[in-house]
Amino acid sequence: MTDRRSTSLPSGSGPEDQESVRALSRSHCYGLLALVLRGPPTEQIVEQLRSPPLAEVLGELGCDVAGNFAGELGAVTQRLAEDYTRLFVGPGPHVSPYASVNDDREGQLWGESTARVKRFIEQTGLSFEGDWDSIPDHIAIELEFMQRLTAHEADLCAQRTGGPKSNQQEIDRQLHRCRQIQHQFLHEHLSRWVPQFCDHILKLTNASFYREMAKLIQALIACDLQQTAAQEAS
Amino acid sequence: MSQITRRDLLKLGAASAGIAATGLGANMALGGTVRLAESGKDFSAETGKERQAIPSACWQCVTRDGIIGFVEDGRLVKIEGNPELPRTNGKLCARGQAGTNILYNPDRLLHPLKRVGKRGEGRWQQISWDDALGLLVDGGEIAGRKVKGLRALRDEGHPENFMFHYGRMKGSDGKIIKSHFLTAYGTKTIGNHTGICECTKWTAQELTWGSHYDNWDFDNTRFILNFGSNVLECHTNHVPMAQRCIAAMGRGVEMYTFDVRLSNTAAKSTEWVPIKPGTDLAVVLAMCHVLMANDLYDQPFIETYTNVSVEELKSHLATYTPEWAETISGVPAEKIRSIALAYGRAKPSVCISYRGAVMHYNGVQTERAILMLEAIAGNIDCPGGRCRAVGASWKFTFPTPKTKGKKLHILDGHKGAYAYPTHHASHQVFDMIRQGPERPDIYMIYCYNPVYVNGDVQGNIDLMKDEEKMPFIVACDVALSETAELADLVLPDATYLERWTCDDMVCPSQIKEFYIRQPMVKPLGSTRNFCDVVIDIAKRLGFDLGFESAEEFVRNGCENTPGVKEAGGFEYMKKHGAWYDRSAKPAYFSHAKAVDITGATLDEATGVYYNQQPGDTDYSSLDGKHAAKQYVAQKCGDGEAHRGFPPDSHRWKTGMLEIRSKALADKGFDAIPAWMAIPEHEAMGSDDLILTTYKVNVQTHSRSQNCKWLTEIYHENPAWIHPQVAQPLGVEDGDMITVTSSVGQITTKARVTEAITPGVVAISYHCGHWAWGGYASSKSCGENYGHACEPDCHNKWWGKGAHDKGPKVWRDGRGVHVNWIVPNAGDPIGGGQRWMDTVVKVAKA
Repeated sequence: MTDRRSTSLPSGSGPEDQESVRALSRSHCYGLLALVLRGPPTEQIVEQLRSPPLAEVLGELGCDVAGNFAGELGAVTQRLAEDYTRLFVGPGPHVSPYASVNDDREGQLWGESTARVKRFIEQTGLSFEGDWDSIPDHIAIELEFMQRLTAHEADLCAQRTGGPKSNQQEIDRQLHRCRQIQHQFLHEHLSRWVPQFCDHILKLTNASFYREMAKLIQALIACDLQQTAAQEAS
Repeated sequence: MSQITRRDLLKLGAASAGIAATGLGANMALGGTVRLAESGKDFSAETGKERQAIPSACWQCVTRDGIIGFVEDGRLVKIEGNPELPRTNGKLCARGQAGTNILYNPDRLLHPLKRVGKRGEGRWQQISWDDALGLLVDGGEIAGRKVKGLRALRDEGHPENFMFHYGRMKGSDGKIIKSHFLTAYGTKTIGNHTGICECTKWTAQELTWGSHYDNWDFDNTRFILNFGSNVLECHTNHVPMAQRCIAAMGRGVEMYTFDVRLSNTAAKSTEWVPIKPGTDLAVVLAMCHVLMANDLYDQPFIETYTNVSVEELKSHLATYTPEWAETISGVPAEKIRSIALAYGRAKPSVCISYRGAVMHYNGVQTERAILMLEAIAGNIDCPGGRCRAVGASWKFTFPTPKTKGKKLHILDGHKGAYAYPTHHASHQVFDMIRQGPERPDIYMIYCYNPVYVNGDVQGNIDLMKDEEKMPFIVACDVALSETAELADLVLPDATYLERWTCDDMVCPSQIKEFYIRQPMVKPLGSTRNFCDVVIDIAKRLGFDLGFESAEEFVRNGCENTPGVKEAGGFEYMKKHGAWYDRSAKPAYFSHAKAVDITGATLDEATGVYYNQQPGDTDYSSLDGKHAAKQYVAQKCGDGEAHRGFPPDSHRWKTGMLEIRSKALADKGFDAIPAWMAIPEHEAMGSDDLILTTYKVNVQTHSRSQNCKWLTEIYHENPAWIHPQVAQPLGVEDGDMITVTSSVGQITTKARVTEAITPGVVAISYHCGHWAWGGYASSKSCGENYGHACEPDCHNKWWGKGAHDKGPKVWRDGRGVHVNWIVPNAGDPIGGGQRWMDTVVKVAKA
């Protein structure tokens, strides 16, 4: 089953180009969300978020975030950092950004689901950097993983366009596998806990920036689940 | 935004591409490139699991048992006892097994936090370690207020204005932080928590037999007499002692427990003897009287190794009859007599004691009287008796800094309040800061929750909110405690399961056991072992500690400590976790050892042989530290030079077991233990009760309550009162009552039971947290605290739906903390917090 709308997207010269652009777009979306959930924002990140073109697009998508960004950069950054800490660290009402706390029976950090996520990610050839300071099932890492997978998909699509015909079959096989893995990860991990995690954010905060990011994550996952299912089926 | 389309994605993706171009979003946590294998042969859930067993050391309480952690997929899945160690024989208590709950506590602090609102308002900002240490070292702004850093204090010539106050810091952790870092920095304003723990017992032992900490040789004893020790539930050497005590009882050894409450230890005993709080001293004196009157005394020991004669003892004890003790303690005279006779005849027997007996106004004299009883019976440092502790002593080759430090005079309470506060009066530190004039500019706490663990909780909170008196508060802990919530800067510590230590707890087999703590997993998030952090702080301040990590320090200990070194050093210890000399004989009778006195000077007045230094006139002229250093031997009652009972560095004494203490006489106290009434108890009205406190088997005092498994078992602490007390008040079991003291009131639930002495109300510690995470405080989803999403917060039954009327009022699933109504008051000799003396009134709420 294919999505008819995808064929009408005005990008690239052929379907492969369009697929590549689409995959890269998804990658950038995941990258954006991973970045804003990874930790309190820096001034550079805030500057990017409130400048064109990102600010306009977020506005067009209905993300009501402009109000968050008015004011002196340092003050805005600090306010967002405080919102981030209150929401994801506590000690007041907060929502844990780790899958195992949300999803495991025991509800502890580094639970069985953390081990599963870590294994899943490492199976794809990626490794955790020596100086990373989080836990493998942090929301930002799961999103970053999708960023990397979708970027890989975009690469494969691009190779298929430019490379010799003899390689096509192998690339197609890899592309199929890459999409399969995305779908599997969305199904087995992200969609298991992230929509509810986002619901908790919506319940717990009036900080509109993180509310809007939560809605965006929910929407992205819903859209992506549909798309990867469709691609896998095709 | 209920839906986004692919078109939206393209637009957002294109716009977000700018971020990728800046490099801000590149490779945030994941390295390498995507290479998709066909199957997960390295990580198959069915076959690929690696399980690693890592020997280490517990830290859930001060016992610090040897443990083995099992790690699977980088996750610690289970903790067991290490079966190779003689101290614990592979056993581990519930607290130890619940250690994974501390490591993986969902409320664990994973990143440094800086306060951005008012103190206690709960507004924080997660910051980097670089920023956090920058703030600590160079000062800066906290919520609009400028604070001085460590560098400024040192540059001003006042490093002592940095106070470091720790709760638990043992083995090489203490060496690194205290002997190296704090010494090099130049502050001696270093507080501990012994004043609220057991310092009364320690001071008594130092005055009597020199060193502190005792071991009870259950393995070889024939009779156990117990004053106020809940040895089967919460001894400071819990697992080693409890298993030996039970084994002894299994051999048919009788145990008689004097306690105000039917503890689990009392319940397991041959007999529970209820006693009025604070009167153990009277019963012990009467027992000494019975032994002397019935010729059940060890004349050779008394006359060789103590500084009193049999005649002096008889005369001193003549009036302390069991009948007299009955009038004081409520224990029938015949009961005292018969137990004393059984104890005296069962030789070797052991008299054990702990906080129930000693954390009173008269605690030092009570413990000294118990040592007198043991000396009379000849049970000192012999198989089956009360022995001097044997622990490991590690050797490190890093030179300790020679900086001459300075200190604020706020550690020992108000001037003259306590005769010999040898382990400080930690419960008085806040009052000293409150009163001034000496106050630290930076007050740092490490694994310590002073707001919760000291008395007068409200006073503690009020002081911590005072930014004039406490300008900069730094907390280092594994979660946000009641105290850390009032701090300005919070540093996330590694748990004991993620760090390195050379450790040294006492072994009841009287054999030195060397063991290490090693990481089972990498520190979670950005948490760091504080022993590593101080190395960084030192570098920022411009000095080098001479080692690069706690691991290097532990390696050094393993490579340089005799015995451990020959066994294989660091590699051996990493593999086995511990080493002890398998051919070592248990250390008994060290006092009787003959000593070569060649070159030593005999001080005729005291009988001490010592190394005389230029300037010494006689041994008596030396201060405590030098007396300990220069002591060689004691000329004992047999005219020979024996090792004796040397002084430790805390205070001057001779090498005799000093039943008669000159140090006490000099300060106006009875030289030989004598009855010492508790003033507040003498002045009690007819409706007054005595509040007593206690601990239970599945919780450590204040810090285990964030362990889900433990708090599921124990989370409520109703006030035990006797039916004779409850009935006139119209109180029935389960009713709410108020308990009021001179410093406050709590509302709690009554447990009406005959398992307590009439006239007493008993409330345990552990409960009533209002911070320290969702499990401890019983606050969770949908309330005003904690993570929203831990599934068991919805399932758990403790505290579910309970109404919260504030921390001073009982709440189902949480109970209420007792320290709101306990004043901070020390015993007049050692300065130990008088946990068991508070006079209260109880009324139906």
